[in-house]
Amino acid sequence: MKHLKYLAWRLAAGAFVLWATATIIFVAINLTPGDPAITVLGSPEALPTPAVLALIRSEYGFNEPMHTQYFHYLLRLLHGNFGESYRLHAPVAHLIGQQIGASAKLILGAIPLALGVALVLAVSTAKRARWLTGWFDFIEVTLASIPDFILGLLLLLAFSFSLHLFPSSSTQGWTSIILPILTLALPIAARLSQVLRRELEEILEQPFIVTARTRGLSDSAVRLGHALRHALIPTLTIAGVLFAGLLSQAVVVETVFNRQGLGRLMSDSATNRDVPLVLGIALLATLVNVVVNIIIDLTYVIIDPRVEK
Amino acid sequence: MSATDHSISAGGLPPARLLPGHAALRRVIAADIRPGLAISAIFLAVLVFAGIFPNILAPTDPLATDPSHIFAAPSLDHILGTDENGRDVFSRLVHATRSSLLLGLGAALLTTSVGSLLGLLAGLGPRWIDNIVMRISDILQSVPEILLILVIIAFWGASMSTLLFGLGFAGLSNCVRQVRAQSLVLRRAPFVEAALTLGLRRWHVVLRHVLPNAIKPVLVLLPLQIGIKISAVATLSFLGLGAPPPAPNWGGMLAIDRDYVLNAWWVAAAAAGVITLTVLSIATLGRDLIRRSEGRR
Repeated sequence: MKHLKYLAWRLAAGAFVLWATATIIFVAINLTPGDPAITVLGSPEALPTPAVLALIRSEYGFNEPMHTQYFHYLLRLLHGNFGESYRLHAPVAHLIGQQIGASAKLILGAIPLALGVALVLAVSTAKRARWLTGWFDFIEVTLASIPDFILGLLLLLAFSFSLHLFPSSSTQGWTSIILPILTLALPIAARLSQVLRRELEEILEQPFIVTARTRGLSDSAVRLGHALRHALIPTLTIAGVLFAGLLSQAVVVETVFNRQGLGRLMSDSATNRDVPLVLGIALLATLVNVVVNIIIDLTYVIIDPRVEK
Repeated sequence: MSATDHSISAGGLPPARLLPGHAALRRVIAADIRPGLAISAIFLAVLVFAGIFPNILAPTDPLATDPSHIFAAPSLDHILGTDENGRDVFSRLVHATRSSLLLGLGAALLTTSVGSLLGLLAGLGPRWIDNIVMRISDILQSVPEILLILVIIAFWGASMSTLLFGLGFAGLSNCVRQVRAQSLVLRRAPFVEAALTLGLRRWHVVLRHVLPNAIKPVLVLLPLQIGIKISAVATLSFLGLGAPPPAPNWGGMLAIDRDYVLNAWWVAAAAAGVITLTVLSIATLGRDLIRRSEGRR
């Protein structure tokens, strides 16, 4: 019952964020000076024909009073109708549907890899010799702070142009996805590993760890069985933020590796000021973010039963 | 303390003859400056110099094309080679420094100042303002940063001001949350209550007593913020959404055709190297600042 109530509260909060985002977008479209139909189209440089303008006006109902427009707008969003991309002459929902698979493959590959690398790195290097942690710390800071596109270009240069281990373009079989996944996963793994190691180092000094060691448990049993669970909560908080931002990174990675996907679609649309398409993808990203955060919050309860509100 | 020790011992003994560099070296060791930190600081100093006086470091015109020297390898004439239009890569890197640093610094300051103001308002103001500010920050946080900037660019077009505005918005909610959390603690702090009891005006207490303490954690993070913003500027330029083409910018230099990379690696390598070194140096400096502020050694 308690859990259900918490879940319901979280879902309501998530729905609020989505509603508010949609509302802000509505306000932004209407507050931008000039003809809102032109704003939706992108810019006056798009040179819309009167027919297209009339179509947008009737579709968005710009002639109707504001509250009717707003109501219709929310209703359309609820039906999954994000409008039409006038650049690609197709409904936004359809275009997103076409590209979502490629990005999902990338992101779903990167998440377990990032988690795995971070866990192995942090658990095996926490509270080891100073020079060892120092080196790993340096590598992690480097990975975490260089821009993603530089990491991608470096990987491309090393493994595909020089060593010819992986193809450089997306059309050459399943191996072509390995470098993009690495580019997505490594910076996240580095950030997670830093947080996790710091937490582990604090926890490995706690009295209950000493107790576990005096019971004769091996070092790895202490680390995995006793310390890790306590270090996971703060790590998951960061992981939630990082995973929710993966679509942002996909924009860069898909451009570097010349892949299809939502990120590529997003940056192309922003360049061409295809407002409906950009807003559709941004709303989708908000939805993903809300869902990821709810999942993370529910995981807290599993990891640490004390976390119950 | 150490000064008195020194004078007592100096009284009894003949004055020690120190090498000229000695005192400075001791001070460096006492300040616990690691080699990485020193290198970072020197690199950043060079960068700032390049940003202020690009013509002294690189007298060659960064826009001058030379059709007979397209993709020339690094040589004495062009120490980092030339790009696809025969323009000097070194000169372009140096002349792009100012806009990169200014955009990074400006965006970081914008985020920090607006974020601090909103955080103070939320932490100290009435409940309803707190609610509004926190919900706005929830929403901002739920759109990934680069996507938020892309939305802003789609609405108002790519220009210096939208770039600055978008970059300033990204990461705003973190700053708001930190300052709010601090000021929630501070509004109940004894010294703040004492100041109010003494009859000081509210805004005076807020500005003189709460603000300096509330923004400390944000200020400590400022260098890291600047690094993140510079990296974001480079990323957006790489995506073709930065400053318009003829003007040199770091990220844009990496957006050259991928087929060139293999044959003319120096163009990509030079730009990637400068961006990496900049971001790493700032991160090193920023982390040291955090370390010191936490009293860790």
